[in-house]
Amino acid sequence: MAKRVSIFSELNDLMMLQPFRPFSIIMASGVRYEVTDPEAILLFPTTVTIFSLVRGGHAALHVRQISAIEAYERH
Amino acid sequence: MADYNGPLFDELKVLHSRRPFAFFAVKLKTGERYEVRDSASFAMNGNVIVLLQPRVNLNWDQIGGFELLESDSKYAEIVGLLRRKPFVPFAVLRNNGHRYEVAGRGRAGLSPWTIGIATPDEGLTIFQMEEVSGVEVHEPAS
Repeated sequence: MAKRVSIFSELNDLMMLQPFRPFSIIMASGVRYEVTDPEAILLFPTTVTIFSLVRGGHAALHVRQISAIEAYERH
Repeated sequence: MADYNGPLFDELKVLHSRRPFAFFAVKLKTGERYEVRDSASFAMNGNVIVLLQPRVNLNWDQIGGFELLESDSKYAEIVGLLRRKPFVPFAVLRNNGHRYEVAGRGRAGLSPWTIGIATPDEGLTIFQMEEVSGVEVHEPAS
């Protein structure tokens, strides 16, 4: 439970950053999702939906399955 | 062969880094054109441009220029509304007659192909961008 709150809170903070900084969501399975635009992600307390700019699809991720978030500088 | 670093290279770098990303076409000197609809679907260096969808390797001397596409106007319009400061609520109209209210910045997410809008009951409606028939902005009364 603590992890879920922490990940949600971390994502929420990243979404609020001005200017926005791209970040990656790394799943427990090792799959990685790049979030390059703030409009490409919808955040709910237990799920995150990512609208892919690469393949045109979307992915619904359970917050509990997220293992890490990596923020990086836009170049 | 020396790396190409002329004006087309600079132009493509600008297109690559535009946010929100703007769709554009790569125009070849032969008249062929390839549409690029996301920043991750191509790579470039001083020798080649590699398009991933479809996979094509182009030499710089094949390139005639680049052209912005108008077909992403609905995507760009909604992204613009989500970034507007102060935020002004708006509705997304769907071609089946439904309308979806976007009451805040975190209530919609989208890509050039797909849009998701949070519903008042904390559900999520997702549909294709091509189903968007219009946008209505609830401008505050002056």
